[in-house]
Amino acid sequence: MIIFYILSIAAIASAALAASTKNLLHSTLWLTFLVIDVAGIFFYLEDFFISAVQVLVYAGAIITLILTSVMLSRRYQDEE
Amino acid sequence: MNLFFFLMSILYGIVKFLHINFTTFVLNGYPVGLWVAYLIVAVVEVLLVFALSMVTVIIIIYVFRKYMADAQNRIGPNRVGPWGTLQLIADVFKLIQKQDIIPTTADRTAYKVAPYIVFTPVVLGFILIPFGNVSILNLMVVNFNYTILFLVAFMTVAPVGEIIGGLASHNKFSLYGALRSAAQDMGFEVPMLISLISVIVLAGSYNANEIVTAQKYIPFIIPEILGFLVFFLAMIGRQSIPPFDLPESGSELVSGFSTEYSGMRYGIFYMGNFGFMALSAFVVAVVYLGGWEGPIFPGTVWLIIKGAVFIFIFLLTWISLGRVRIDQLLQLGWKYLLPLSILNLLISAGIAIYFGGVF
Repeated sequence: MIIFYILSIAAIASAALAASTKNLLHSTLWLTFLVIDVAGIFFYLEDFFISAVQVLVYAGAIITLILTSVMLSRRYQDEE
Repeated sequence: MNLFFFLMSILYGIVKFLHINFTTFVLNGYPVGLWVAYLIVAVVEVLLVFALSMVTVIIIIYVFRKYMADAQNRIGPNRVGPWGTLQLIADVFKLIQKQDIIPTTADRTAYKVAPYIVFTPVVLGFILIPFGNVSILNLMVVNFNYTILFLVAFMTVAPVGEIIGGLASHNKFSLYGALRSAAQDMGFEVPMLISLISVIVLAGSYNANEIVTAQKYIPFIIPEILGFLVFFLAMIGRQSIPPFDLPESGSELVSGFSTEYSGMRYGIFYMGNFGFMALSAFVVAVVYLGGWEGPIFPGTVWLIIKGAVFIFIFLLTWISLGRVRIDQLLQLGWKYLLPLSILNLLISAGIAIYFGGVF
């Protein structure tokens, strides 16, 4: 139960940070933490398939796509 | 380095300790001492696997340097320790002593986090490999369903760190490296997963241990030679070793995403690369060559032999082949490997329907 609360609080905090951070790269990093946190919650609830798919699809593929779009966005290029 | 070990221990903890639920132990009336004993065993197991992955990486780097030197008609490391075996440890000491340079324009947080994102999933992957059995001792650190899925999931996370590192460096070459890493990642991920799905269809299980036991008589390389080729090429592509080393490409991008990295941060990238190589060799051995199944010797010896064969093949491609262009690489991934893997999925579904009892 304690582990569940720790994971959920971390998930909520990283979600809030991902939404509020101005820097796009940092907000993507927080999103990565959020996704892995949620995978940890699924793992804790013993739903291993969903947990594995969460890591595989979200942390592996979606984050890559988001990073690619961050790379191409004007906001990020202006910061240079 | 402290942050690194801290992160490692936390992630190990999440994977390992979630399995041992404290409240169920207390509610079922077991003594707390038993839980503590479980915890100690878990910590020892995890430390052993960590040491094992590190030793594997050290051995691979030594063999690689000697092998490459042989191919290039040099002698290779021969000063530190007998036959130069301690060269890597000396290199690590050198890297730790080096100044930790962070470019002023770089994104400091992301720059610092990136090497750990590459390295952590690789070591986490090692706890999921079925290391077989030594007489009665079953060497598997975690055993639940869906282990093979978790293994592949960890392997897909590692390239994200490369992209973040390249982006955070704020450097033209690093940006190119990150872009190429992303393209390559997406190009090879899909065929790899589809050819893995056909193995799962044949074995009828997501558990790595059961995939191994399904290959007791016929290893999956025989009915699935196409899938093996696709998976193997995708593995070479995912490790970004030559001929697919476009994200790094020393001669055109000045080692791509890791251009700005120096000192131990570069060392972590380097060890992560070689750890990924060992991990993918073991995964190919488990999925297609029957892992720890084999006559006479204990299972672990067989797994190490099979893994070592693949590591040698990876090193051979590294030292002998030239680099392809980025468009050729993406063509290979999307135009050839993807249709081949789908064809292989259909074939293996047919095999599973008509000869399902064999496996």
